[in-house]
Amino acid sequence: MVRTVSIERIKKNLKTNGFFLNCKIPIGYTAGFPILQVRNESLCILFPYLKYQTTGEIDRTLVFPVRYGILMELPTEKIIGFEDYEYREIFKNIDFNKPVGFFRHDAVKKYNREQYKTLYDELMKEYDKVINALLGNGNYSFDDERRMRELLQILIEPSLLSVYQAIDMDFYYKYLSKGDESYGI
Amino acid sequence: MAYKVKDPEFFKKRLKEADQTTEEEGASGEKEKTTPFRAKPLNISTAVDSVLTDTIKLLYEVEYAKMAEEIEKLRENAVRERFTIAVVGEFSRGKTTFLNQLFEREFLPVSNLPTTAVLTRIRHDSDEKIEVFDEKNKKNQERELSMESWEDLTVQNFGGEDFDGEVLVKIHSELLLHSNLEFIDTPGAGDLDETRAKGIGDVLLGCDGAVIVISATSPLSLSEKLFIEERLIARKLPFLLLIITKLDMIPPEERAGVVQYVVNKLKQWKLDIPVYIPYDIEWSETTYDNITGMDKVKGEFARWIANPLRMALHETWVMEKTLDIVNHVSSSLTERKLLAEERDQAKQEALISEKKQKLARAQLVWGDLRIQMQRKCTECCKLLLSQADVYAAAITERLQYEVSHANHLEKWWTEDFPYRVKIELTNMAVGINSAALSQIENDARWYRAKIKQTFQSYILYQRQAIVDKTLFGNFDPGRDIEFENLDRQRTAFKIGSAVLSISGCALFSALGFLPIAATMGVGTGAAIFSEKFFGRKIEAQREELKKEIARCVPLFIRNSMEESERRLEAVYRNMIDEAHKSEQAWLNAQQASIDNICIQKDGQNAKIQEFLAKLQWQTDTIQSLLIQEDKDESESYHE
Repeated sequence: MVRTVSIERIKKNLKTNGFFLNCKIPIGYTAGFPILQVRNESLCILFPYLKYQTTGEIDRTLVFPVRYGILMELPTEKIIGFEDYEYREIFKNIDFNKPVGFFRHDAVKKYNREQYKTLYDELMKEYDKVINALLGNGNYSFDDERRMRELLQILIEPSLLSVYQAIDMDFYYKYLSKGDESYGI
Repeated sequence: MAYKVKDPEFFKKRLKEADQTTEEEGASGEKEKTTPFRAKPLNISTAVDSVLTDTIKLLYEVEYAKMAEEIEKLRENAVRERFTIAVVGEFSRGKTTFLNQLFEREFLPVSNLPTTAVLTRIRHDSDEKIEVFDEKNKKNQERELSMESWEDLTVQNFGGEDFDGEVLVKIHSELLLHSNLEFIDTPGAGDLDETRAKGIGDVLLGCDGAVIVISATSPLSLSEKLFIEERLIARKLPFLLLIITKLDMIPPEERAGVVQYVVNKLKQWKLDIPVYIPYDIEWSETTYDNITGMDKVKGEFARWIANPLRMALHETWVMEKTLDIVNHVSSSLTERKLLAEERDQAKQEALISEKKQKLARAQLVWGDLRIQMQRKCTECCKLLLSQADVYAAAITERLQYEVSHANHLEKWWTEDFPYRVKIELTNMAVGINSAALSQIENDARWYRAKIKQTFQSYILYQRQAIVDKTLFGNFDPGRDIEFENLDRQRTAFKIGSAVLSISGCALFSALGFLPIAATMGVGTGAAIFSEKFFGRKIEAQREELKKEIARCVPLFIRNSMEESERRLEAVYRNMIDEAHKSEQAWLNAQQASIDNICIQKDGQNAKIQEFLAKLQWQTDTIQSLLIQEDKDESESYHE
């Protein structure tokens, strides 16, 4: 029997992990909403790290592109990868020092701090549910999936969506794609 | 040891599929409505995409989930339809180098010798790897994407043995990702035996465009011209471009001359194909900046993909199918309403029972129609074969007549004969193609009429609905079996092109470019008649040549007709499959109406009426979009 996984606990443990500390992610970077992946039939979680910079104005906190990724296998919480996206071909034209958007974005402006926290906590619970269900330790219903999709689409900064898409297409199309973008080359 | 995840494909499944999984697992216990997954609307406009989404939602709302799923599938097919570009040319012209440079990475093997031995498809995938498929298109290996993985897949490793499979290279590429492009790297054209040449011919039939690669060191040989004419132009490949490689291997002062030579040659041969130089190059005087650089080549690809005609075809196809499904649902809902209006329980049960019987009979009629259509296919094949025999006799007679009047028999046999065969077979291909298309059209019309008749004789309530509600004014159950627009053009040219490709091969073999005569069982030109033979008396030579013509011409035609027959069968099979899909949709709708009537509740009639009105609105919207498409298409045609 696999022990129940909690995403909040993983994040807490990560901060004191030796490997993570050696990655020397600069101060100021914080973990965004994690991406779940299946690699060689093992469940993995990828924490994208990005920077926020306050400007003193309400709803004008600068959001910078996702710069680092820490990949971890579940449920062991073993770190199996670290990547600085600055060196990935697909991000070669991204200026990581240039902000891409603001926090709070339109979809969350209507919520006060408490309401935002409630939604955030709910989303984390949905992460826990899907992780535990995939590890054979609980159920994850259609309603859960739909709710997780809704919450992610509300909470995630729209300016970061393209990065999420580039990092993991499957996660993006399952949870983040609204399907109304226009594409072309 | 790593824990195995319960469902490795979980994140690849969209919401709808995941729903099914959880239901099977009994997690929720109740059947829930699904929200459609919306993919990238690449091949369809936002307006069409939005109509489709609304229709899908509406069908889920009226509990016709299967029909909604069908539209979702159609939509995904239309959206995900790849734009396939083949990179073709003779061997060692730099096709693979071009692809490596296009993707800005060395992922395909190149060398100075012919290297690419197998058809190599290149698609986007974030999980990069090489997949090897055998001749039956079955995946038999997965490899890491590295140069070492190619070791046994290059020409040098086959040692005379052919590998008839294909390789699929999955690479992470923005270019492929955002445009749904797929590239095919082909082995060098002059490097092929007959079977593989035919195989590549078949692949080209499924392509949307082709990049012709020629080398500056030997620009546009006659065989390259023939390749372009026979394999690309004759197959009506809609998008072509030509790139000149290896310009850096000739002195700077000669480079502009080579480019000009190629452009002039294409003009002289009346081949309207844009020319590009994919790499930045040093020029001495004249520069060709407007056609130089990989960005220009990518720009050309972008224009191909954004071609409005292509999008219009996708849109029309998906909307026509959607309209049919909506019509099926409207018909079924109307029946539900009428049945529910019957308050007498006994009468209602009798109506349901009658409907069930009719459905069972309808299924039999559908089956019978399929068999009749298969018979028509056999008849069509017979007709074409008999026409081919007539052509064979006439061509033989004409060629024998020419032999009896030719003064220089050796010259006629080695130079004129292959050309004459090519011309004759080309004419024959056009004739047979047109006869085949006319026959197919007749049979399709017959099939459509029969299906319509079947629908009308079995849907009694619908007639009332037409009168009462004018819901079915445009109801045409036969629409499905018109060829899918997307395939119409390709299919139409498949039949004759088999003949054309054989005639092309005949010419090649006679000229000595492709040693395939032996494999075809046909000998032409000097290969079968020695110098000694042409030293004989002229009358004896004439008789021998006449005999040879009588032997080899029917053989050419028989070979080509075998391939044509196979393609003709595929056309009929497509029609039957299309009708079968329509049949399934119709039966599902009818069955749903019977199932739902059994759980009809008070007050539902008003709701059905409301749904019918909404469906009518959807129908009107789709029809107005279709009319707009028709208008746009005809305008662009006239332009």
